[in-house]
Amino acid sequence: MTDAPATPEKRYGTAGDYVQLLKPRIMMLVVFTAVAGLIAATGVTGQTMHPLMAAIAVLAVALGSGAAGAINMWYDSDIDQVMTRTSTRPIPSGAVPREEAIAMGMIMSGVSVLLMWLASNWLAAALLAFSIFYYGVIYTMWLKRSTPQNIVIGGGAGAFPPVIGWAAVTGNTPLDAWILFAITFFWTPPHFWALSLLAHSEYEKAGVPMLPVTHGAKATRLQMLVYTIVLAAVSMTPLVTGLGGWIYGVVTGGLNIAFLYYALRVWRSHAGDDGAPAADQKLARSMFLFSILYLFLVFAALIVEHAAGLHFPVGGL
Amino acid sequence: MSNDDLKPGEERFPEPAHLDAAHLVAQRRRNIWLGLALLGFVFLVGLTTFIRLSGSEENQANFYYNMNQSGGDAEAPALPPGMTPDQAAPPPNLSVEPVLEEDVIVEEEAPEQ
Repeated sequence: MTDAPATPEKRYGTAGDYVQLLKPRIMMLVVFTAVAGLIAATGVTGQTMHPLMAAIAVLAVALGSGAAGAINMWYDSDIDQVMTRTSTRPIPSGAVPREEAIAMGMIMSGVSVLLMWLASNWLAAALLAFSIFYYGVIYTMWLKRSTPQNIVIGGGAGAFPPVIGWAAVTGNTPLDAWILFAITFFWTPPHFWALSLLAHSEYEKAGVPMLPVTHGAKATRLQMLVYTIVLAAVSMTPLVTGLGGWIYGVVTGGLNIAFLYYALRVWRSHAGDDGAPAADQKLARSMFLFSILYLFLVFAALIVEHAAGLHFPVGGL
Repeated sequence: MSNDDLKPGEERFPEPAHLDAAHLVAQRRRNIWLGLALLGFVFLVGLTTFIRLSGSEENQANFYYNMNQSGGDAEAPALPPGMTPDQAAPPPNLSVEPVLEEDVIVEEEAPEQ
């Protein structure tokens, strides 16, 4: 028996396969953070956007996210075939030909940027184009296979949507927009490394230099703790600038305590080590799931404050 | 003429694809999705263009005339250099208020003598 993957059986792709190509779960988070940026910009600056134009701008972000996902799956189809977790994706499973995936990704990229430009302004369109390039080329083609800091630097791609949402409304990107960028940026390492602690043998098999593969699980757990501490500090800065109010402060403060608690427990555990207890592995998985909830609730708090008129600033620069 | 009968130097035509029933169904389904996506894109471009044009400055070209009808508190913008308020006023043949039939005075013809 060899490790060589079996040639996938040819089957006809369904609409569901093409949807999977767009990485819908990532798309949902991307759209949500973009909407949060859009609403926060409206709340802070008082500038408004035509509701239909705002809806089209959000659609453009979703299409851009899907385009980047398709380009990623096109390029990574060789390693997706090797890893159990990703072997059922549309390309390795034989449902979607590689050339169709890249064609879809390129066309959707163009359509999304054009729609964003028409619906808002050139800055939002340029940021969207750059974020697709960042994920599809800088992260996927360069960083992912060359450095253990791949998801740290590559995390920038996923951090752009709230900035794009902000730019779509105002035509500029002030400090508050970049604070939202920083929250997502520093959230990515503990989020993704929690997953890679569980799947490091898969990454090793595929030859992807994830941190647990190159530096071991212990160093990864420490890095997760460090980034969670930085995230906790960064996520409270909206209170200083006035972007976040009391509700944001209470929600994010509570979430930070819980996230730090998870990070501390994972740091002290043996998650990711060879022969680690099942409870430790489960803990890493719980932290991964909690991190998704964390980002969702942090941005939801901002949306509630600015959309429902419940923004009561604590401070303000 | 089949490809087997080609003479030297003649161009070879591609063999037509023979698609099975499942392939044809998949192709048809994909074509419908592509058509819908294209239609959606055209609709969205049209919609954004319409919204942009609705709010554009070109559409406000008759602003000076509309201003009186809106009755808003907004102050009139500065007139272009060299233009007097009389010149900016609506032409006499345009009425701000709708003209009612009873307001029209018909001059009676003088009786013939």
